[in-house]
Amino acid sequence: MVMFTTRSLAKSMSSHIVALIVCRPEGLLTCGLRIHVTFITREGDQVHIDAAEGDNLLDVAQAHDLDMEGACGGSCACSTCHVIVDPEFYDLIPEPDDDENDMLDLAFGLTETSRLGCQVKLTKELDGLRVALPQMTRNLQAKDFEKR
Amino acid sequence: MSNQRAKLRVAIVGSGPAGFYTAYRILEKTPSGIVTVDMFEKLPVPYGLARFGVAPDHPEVKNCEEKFEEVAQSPYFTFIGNTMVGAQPLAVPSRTASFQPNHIPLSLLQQHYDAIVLSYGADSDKDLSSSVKGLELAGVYSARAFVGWYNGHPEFQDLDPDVMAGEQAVVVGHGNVALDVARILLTDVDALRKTDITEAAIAKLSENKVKRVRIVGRRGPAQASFTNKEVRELMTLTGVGFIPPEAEFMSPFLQNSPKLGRPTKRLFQLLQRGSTTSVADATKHFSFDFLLSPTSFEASEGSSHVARAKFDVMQLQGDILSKDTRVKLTGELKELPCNVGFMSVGYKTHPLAGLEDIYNDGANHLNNEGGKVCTGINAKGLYVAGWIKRGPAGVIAETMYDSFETASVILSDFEDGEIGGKSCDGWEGVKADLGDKIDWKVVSWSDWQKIDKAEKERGSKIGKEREKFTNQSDMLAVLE
Repeated sequence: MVMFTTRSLAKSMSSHIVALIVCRPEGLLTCGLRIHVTFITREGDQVHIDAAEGDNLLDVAQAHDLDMEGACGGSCACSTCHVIVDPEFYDLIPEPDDDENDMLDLAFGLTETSRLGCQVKLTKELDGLRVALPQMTRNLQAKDFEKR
Repeated sequence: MSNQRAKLRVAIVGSGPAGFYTAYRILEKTPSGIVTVDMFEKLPVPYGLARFGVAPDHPEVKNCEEKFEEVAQSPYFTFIGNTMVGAQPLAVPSRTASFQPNHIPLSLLQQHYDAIVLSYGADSDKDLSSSVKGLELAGVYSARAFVGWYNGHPEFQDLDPDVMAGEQAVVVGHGNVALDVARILLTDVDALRKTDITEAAIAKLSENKVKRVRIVGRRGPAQASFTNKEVRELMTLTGVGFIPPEAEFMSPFLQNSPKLGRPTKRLFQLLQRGSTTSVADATKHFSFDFLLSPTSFEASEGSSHVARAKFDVMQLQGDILSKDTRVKLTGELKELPCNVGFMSVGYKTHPLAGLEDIYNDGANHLNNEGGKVCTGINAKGLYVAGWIKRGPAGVIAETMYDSFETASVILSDFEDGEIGGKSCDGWEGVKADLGDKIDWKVVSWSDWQKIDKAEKERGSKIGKEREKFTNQSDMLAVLE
């Protein structure tokens, strides 16, 4: 397990370090903003993550060893980082462009609130965001998004 | 794990995405050292269709190779390149000037491994020679061979496609391979120069005379298999105009639009919007031509080069909006001008020798349950992944999911004690048995890294990512 995560771990560490040392001009001691994200895994478990503003969901998921692949390396050329966004948050994310929609067309279990993880960038409006990794065996239900 | 002390030796046949994603999942889900994976590849170079199928202007799709490289770094992974498992199926030409396979028998692998994953894909074209005449004419090619040729596959370097005979091209088939062929024919060759397309292909394509490409399918727009990304790419090619389908093909979809699935709905929006370059301003054009089933390619009198393509005009039988609707003959015929023609009607898989009894010819794959071969005299410990498992269709994402499924079936069989723990030596055992019979260079992962480096160096001299070696002996010469 460990041997495959070293790189993504290093990637995430560097982005955390950047978040910590780049202080925002408006606050003397406030450092990079943290965004709370909840991932609902394919098994239905909820994983709460404190991520850095500006990170995308694919990087965050991989940094925390969640079962999300990015076959094309996050370049919007496959659909392996498909996530289902809690409808409550969906409209807060800028709309998908044509390229993303073309890939979503090929995603398994596409829903009205599906997105590609690599294209969802965390902003402060998205604090508290809940996203689910699509199930291969059953459709997601509203209660999967319920806070636990 | 009930099988705690046992080890599992896995052989994987074929190093394309299916083989690598299976290896990845197996190694990722097991503690270090419990499982070893040996991957066999008939060519000296890995990655299968990621290297030889994915279009050169889609470099981002090849990013999956980064993950494969990571997998290959595992101390429990061994690459055995330039070594083909099983004999070449009779239906497939066995050798070309650029490639001569080195064989080892599948039965030997079965002695020396606990589990064998067949992920060798589809090795030929669906054969339409009994229903389409003139496929042997000069200027008529298999799209698969053309793609292999421009991507530098050693088996297709003799193709020498003639794209200089005239302006009119016909591509038969409505899948993404057909669109790749159309796009390569229509793209300004200068835009391809910086990709990893071969220099031989660049030289040939710079003499390309094609100005009009008809992409012809037997069924209607709702039944086409190509995806919206590839259609959009054609629509946005510089200087290329889209000649829209006749209104009869479009109107039903506008009226019934709520009924359509999302991808089809978006496809119609694309077809309706048309190309970025207007038909009037464009210097090259393409169209989608529907409900035409090919009957023959014909040459002009006294020539052996194709000049026209003939088709039966078809009609849809049933719901025109449904994906599965079939077609029937109308009795009407249609002729199109054709200076160069490509057949892109799908791939054909084959069973390895000894596995004929588990091959399903109609379904175009080996019989399996979730990736496990359950019937057949040689079935024990056999698994499948990728196109040989589910038939030759689908993008890398689908292959990834189905390879993960195969990996989890293997691991659960291991856990149940159904496989594993055999006293066998894997590749060491195979080598000991064959001895002097291995009279070829077996390419290791570090050998491949040398070839890879040499290709990148060749590329950087001419301003591209990589210049591939296109024949086996040049690949091996790097290692001398």
